[in-house]
Amino acid sequence: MSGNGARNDLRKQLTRSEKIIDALIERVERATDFSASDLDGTNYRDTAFSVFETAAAWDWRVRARTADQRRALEDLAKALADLEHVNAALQREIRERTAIEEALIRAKLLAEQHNAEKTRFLAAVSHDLIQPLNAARLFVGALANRRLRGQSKKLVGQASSALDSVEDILEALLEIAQLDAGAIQPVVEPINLEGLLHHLAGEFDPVARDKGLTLEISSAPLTVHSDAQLLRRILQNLISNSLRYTDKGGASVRATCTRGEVTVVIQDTGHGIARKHRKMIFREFSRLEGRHQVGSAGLGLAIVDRAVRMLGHRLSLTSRLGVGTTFRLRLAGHRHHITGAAIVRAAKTCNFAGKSILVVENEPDSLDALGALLKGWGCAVSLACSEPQAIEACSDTEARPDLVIADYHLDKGLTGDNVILALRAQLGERIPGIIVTADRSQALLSALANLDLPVLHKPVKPESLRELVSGYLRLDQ
Amino acid sequence: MQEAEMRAMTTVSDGLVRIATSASADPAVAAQDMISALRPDSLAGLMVFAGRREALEAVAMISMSLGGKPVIGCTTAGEITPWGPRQETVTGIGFPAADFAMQALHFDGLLGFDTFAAQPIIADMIGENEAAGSHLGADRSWAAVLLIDGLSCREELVTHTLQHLLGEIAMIGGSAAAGMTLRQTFLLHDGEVRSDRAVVALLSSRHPMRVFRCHYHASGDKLAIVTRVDSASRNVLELNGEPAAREYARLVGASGPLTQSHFAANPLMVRVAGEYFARAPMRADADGNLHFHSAVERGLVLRLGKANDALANLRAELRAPADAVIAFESVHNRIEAEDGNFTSELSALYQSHRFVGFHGYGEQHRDLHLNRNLVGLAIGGRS
Repeated sequence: MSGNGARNDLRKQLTRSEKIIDALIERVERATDFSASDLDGTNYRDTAFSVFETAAAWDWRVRARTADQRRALEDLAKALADLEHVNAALQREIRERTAIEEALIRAKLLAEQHNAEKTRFLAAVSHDLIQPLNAARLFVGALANRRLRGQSKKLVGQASSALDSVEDILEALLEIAQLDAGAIQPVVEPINLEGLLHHLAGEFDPVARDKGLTLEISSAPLTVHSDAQLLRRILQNLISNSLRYTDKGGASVRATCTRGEVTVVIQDTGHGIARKHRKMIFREFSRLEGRHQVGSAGLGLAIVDRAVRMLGHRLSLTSRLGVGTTFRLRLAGHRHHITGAAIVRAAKTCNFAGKSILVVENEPDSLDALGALLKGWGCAVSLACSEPQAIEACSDTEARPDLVIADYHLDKGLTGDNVILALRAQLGERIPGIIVTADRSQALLSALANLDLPVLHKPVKPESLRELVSGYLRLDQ
Repeated sequence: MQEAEMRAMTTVSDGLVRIATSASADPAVAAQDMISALRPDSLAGLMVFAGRREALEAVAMISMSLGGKPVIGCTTAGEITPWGPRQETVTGIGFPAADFAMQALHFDGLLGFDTFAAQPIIADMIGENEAAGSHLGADRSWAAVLLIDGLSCREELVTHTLQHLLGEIAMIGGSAAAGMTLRQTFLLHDGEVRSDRAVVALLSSRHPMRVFRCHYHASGDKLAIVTRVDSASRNVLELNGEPAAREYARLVGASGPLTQSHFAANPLMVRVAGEYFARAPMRADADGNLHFHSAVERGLVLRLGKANDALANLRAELRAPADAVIAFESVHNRIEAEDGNFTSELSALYQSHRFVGFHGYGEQHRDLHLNRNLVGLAIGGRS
């Protein structure tokens, strides 16, 4: 091959290379121009290949997204599988728990059966004993009427007092039997605690005096929500218990109120109760060692315990051996600003002439009935069945009510306390109010007590209403 | 068995979709037999693939008497039939109205394809299909099928635009062909057979529908850089600074004139968006230029491709069960299978999965106009 031919070949090679380089440079320039001017690929150069490039980029994105979705689905599937495992474990656990629960229910049924049997037995025994007891009492009474010499007279006296305690025990047993059998259904209503304690003071003062003990009973003007009979039994038993196990000093009963809760503190300077006995004392027939006083049967606290639980009150106990015992009874209630004496006076006189009362109630029948009752007592009554009506009724300063009685549940979820608060805001005065409701829950009572709004439960007893109304109207004067 | 079927000339395969094919030599008879076999009264619409223009014309005539049901179709370079890949048949798919709703429309004069004008038309079609398919339930599936003139050089733009307008509705398509003559291709819609046309069918079904694409070529080491080109006509004048046909022949080691077998065995691959895509050479002209079935431009770095296992790739794609697969495949894939003697295995695979479709000049999958692919719409089975 000649040198010319080789040179020609080389020149050809060079030309090819230049062509390739030019083409590549053009392409690269176009590509960089493209990517710089149009990163999002929405506007493509109008050549078929650039359209293809854009499409391929889109396709890549779609595939990437699909892959992401697939991964997400796989993750989801895994999570579901995990969940299934957890679920299976849970179901195993539920089966086990169900088995345990069934066993517990069986045990509970058995216990209830035993309890019912015990209750029936107690009732029967108590009842059977009443007859011979009456007979014995008659005999002892007959003996006491005879003229007896010193020794015999003393024996008869002891027999009589022994019979008294037997009778107490039987009564307590009957009461427990009734409580356990559900024969006693509590009726929760507002109770004037001050009045109740006043009565109890009268009842226990002689007992304390007999033992040479002091008994102090003091209470703020409080209204509590409880069953009158049961609360009375609770307090009777606690006071009697305190006096029974106290030899020196005495007992005190104080009632105080904070934030919708009333606490009655029964405190004594008695023997005290050891920590290990504190649960036991609430069981029937449990009497602590060394306590063999006349009349004690160890049933009082068992009754207290049952009644407290039935009413949803709370009872706590602190005690130091040889120093004394303190019981604290906590229950819903509030201050009523008026003394028991004032209520009694008002209820007696009951002249509300010229007093204006606004009744807010959404049920026309109740509204009318309440209106008629209040008018009968001489009140000027305005009626409203909604908040706007209530506001309207008070818009005139002449028409400012002395008291608002509002139903708790009004239309559209509105509540009576809100209406009263709105009226108070409107008038710039703390107008007294009473809420009427069928809701007996402690939560509601507490909430309303915090707003200084006493509660009357439906069905409204005219006496209770009159008592509350008169208290407010007197106070207002 | 096949001989017996061939003697019968017409066969029908029932499933979620009905597939019928006729090999009658008389195009009118073939068209009539095939359409009758599909029982058109109970169909929402038909799709027809014909090896000859005359057969498509015959279908067009009959379609006028079908009460306005959409009938679309095109000429091919071989049909995928219930007998496997065949040529010169009339093969149709019927979509039973109980399970499908079908709407179709066409765009003529693809050089002037107006992307803005297409938008309301596609939106209307979707709305019509939604109304027509109200009996298909709330969780029906959607898919679109494109048939487009494979010699229009407008497949990229039309495909990308239509998929964009269809949004979440996935589209596949096939480029109509004219055997290996590479002359005019024809497309049928509205009883009319024309060239320079794109036809889109929108399908909704109570059965799941899934699109896929599948190719089996990888890139090799040999480079062919496009140094001179007429992009508008996909006509490459020079590769590596040399006359294109000559340089290609040198790269593939062709001693005589370039044939379709050379093109089938040696696609050129271009890397875009992380993937190699095939550019299929179509023919070498008298001037030594190389014409392509897809877009090319100056400065493209093309690599000579090589085939991997076609069957394995397809089997992997077909793991999800389906009742039938509408398939559009590269004619060069068919030629490569014939040259490589794996046609019968492919045919068995197609038959066992109820493939129906045709071999053409290009394939469309969602936004993409592709070469050397098999794109499919799998109907039924799990979604």
